[in-house]
Amino acid sequence: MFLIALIVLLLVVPQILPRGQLFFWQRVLIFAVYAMSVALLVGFTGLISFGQAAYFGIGAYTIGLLLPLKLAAPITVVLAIIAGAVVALIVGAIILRASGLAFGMLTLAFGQALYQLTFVFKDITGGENGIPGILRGTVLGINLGNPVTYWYFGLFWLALGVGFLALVHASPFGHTLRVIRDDPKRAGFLGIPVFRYQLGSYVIAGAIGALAGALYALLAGIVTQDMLYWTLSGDPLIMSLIGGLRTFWGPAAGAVLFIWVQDQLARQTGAWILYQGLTFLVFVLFLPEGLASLPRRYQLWRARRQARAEAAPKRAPA
Amino acid sequence: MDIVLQFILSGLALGAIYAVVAQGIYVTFAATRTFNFAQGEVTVIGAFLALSTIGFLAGPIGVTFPLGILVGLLGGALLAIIIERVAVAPVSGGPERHEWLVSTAGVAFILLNAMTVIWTRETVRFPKPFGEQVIQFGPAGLLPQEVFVIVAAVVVVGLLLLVLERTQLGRAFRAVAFNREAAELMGIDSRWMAVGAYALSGALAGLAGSLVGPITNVNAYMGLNLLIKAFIAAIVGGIGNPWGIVVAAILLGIAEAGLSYAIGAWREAALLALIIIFLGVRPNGLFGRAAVEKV
Repeated sequence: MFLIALIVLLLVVPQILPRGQLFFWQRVLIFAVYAMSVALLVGFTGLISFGQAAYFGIGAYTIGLLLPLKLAAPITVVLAIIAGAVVALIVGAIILRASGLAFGMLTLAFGQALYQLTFVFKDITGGENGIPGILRGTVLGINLGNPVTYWYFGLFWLALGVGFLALVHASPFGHTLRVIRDDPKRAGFLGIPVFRYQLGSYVIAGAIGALAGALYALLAGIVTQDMLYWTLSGDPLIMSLIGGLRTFWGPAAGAVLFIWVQDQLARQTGAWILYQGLTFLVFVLFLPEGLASLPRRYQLWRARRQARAEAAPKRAPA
Repeated sequence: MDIVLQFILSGLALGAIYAVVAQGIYVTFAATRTFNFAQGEVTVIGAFLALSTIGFLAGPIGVTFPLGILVGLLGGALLAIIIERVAVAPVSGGPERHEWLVSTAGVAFILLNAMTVIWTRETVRFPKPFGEQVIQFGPAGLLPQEVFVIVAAVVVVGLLLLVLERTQLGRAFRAVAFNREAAELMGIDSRWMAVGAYALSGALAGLAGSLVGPITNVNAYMGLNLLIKAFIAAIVGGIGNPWGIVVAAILLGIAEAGLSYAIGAWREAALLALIIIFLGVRPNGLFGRAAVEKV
C-alpha cells in the first residue's frame, strides 16, 4: 500500500511541482538511494565505511570524463556503474583484509586519496574548477535536457537500484550478510566465506553509489571535487542513522529530512553546519534507532497510556 | 645522502606531531573502545586558542607562547571532557555499537563550523617564537620550532608512557584496557577512567595543535588530515601498542617528507595508497600478530 502510494506520488510529482523545486526533490531522491546503499554496507553487513564518497565521485567523474566522447546518457550511466563496481572489487579485495575500525579508516584513506588525485590530474579533472557543461542530450528522440523528462529518467534508474537492493535484502545472500554483521567470527566457524560476502556487499554498495553520483552529475550539469570529498561519505551515514540504520526505508526517510533541514537552515543562517551538527547529536542521543522506530514508539506510548487509563479508575475509589 | 638526512629530520618533526595526536587516540580507545572523531578539530582548536592567547596578552613571545600552549592544552582537555559526556558516554552501550562514531563525527562538524564563526575560514599566520633561523645538523637543517616540537613530543610521550607503565593510575588504566569488567570488579571506576582518558587525549591534541601552529600556520580545515594521519599511525603501529604507535608515527612522517620531495603533488595519494597496500599485507600492523579469539 505504502509502496504503491510512493510510486504514484513520484510519478505525478513533476506534473504538480514547479520546475524550480523539481531539482531539489530529485537531489533528495538521489541521496535517498545513495544512503540506502551505504546502509546496506553499514547497517546490514556491519562494515563501517567512511569513504563511500569515493564511489559517488567515481560515478560523477565517469560522466564528466566521458563527456568528450558524446555517448548517450544511458550508456554513460551504465559505464559509471561498472566503474564503481570494478573499483570496489579491486579496492575491497585489498582493504577488507583489515576489519572493524581499521577498515573504516582505510575507506576514508582511499576516499581522500582519490580526492587528492583530482588535484594531481588537474588537466583532465579540471582541479578546483571541476568539469562544467555536462549535457544530458537526447535519447530515442526524448530530450533529457528537460527537467521533467530527466526526472523520469532518474526515477527509472533509481527504481532499478532500489529494486536491486530489495532483492539483495530478501535473498539468502542478504540474510547471510546479517548473520555476518551480528557475529563475523561465528559466521566464519559456520563455514560462511565471510570475506566473499563482505566483498559482495562492498561491490553492490560501490556500484549503487556510483549510480547515484552519475545521476547527480547529470542533474547538476557539472562535476566538482565536492562529489569526492569526505563530507559526502559522512552525510549518507548520518542520513541512515537519522532514519534508522538497520531498516530498509529508514535511510531514505533520513535523507529526505536531512536535505530538507539543510536547505531550510542554509536559507536562514550562515552557520547552518553548526545547527546541522546539533541536529544529528539530538537524533543520536534521543532517537538512537532513527525515524523508522517512531511508529513502534508511538504504539508503545499509546499502549502505555491506555494501560494507565485502565489502571487509574480502579485506584480512584480507594 | 644529504637530502635523505634532510627528509629524515623533517619527517621526525612531522612524525612527532602525529605521535602526540595518535597517543590521544590510543588512550581513549584503550579505556573505552571509542575514540573522538573530532580529535583533529580539537587539535586545531588548541592551535587557535594558543594563537588567541598570544594575541590577547600581546607580551614578549617568550612569555606568551608557553602560556598559549598551556591554554591550548587545557582548552583541549576541557573540550574533550564535554565531548565524552555529551556524545560518547550516552551512546556507548556495548562493544558492537558504533553510534559514538557518528555522534563524534557530528561534533566534528559542529566544531569545524564553530571555528569558522569564532575565528576564520582563512589560514592565519602563527608567530614564530624561536625565529626562523635554520639550525644546521651537518648538511641538513631544521627550523628551531621543528626542533622544539621533536623535543616536546619526546618529553610528553615519554612522560605518558612512564605514567602508564610505572604508576598505580597507569596500572588501573591498563587493567581497564585489558578487561573492563574484571577491572570494575576490582574496584576501578571505568567511568572516571573514560573521562580521564578523554581529558588526556584532548590535552594531547590541544598541545599538538599549539606545537604545530608555528610550523604550518593555522587553518580550520586542517583537522581532518591530522586525524587521518594519527589514526593511520595508531593502526599501523597497533592500536593497543603505544610504543608501536610512536614508531609508526615517525615512519609515517619520514615517508611523507620523502614522498613530498620525490613526487610533490602525488604525495598524499601515494602515501595513502602505500598505507592501504601495507595494511592489506599486514592487517594487524607493524608488530601485530593475528589474534585468534575463542567464541
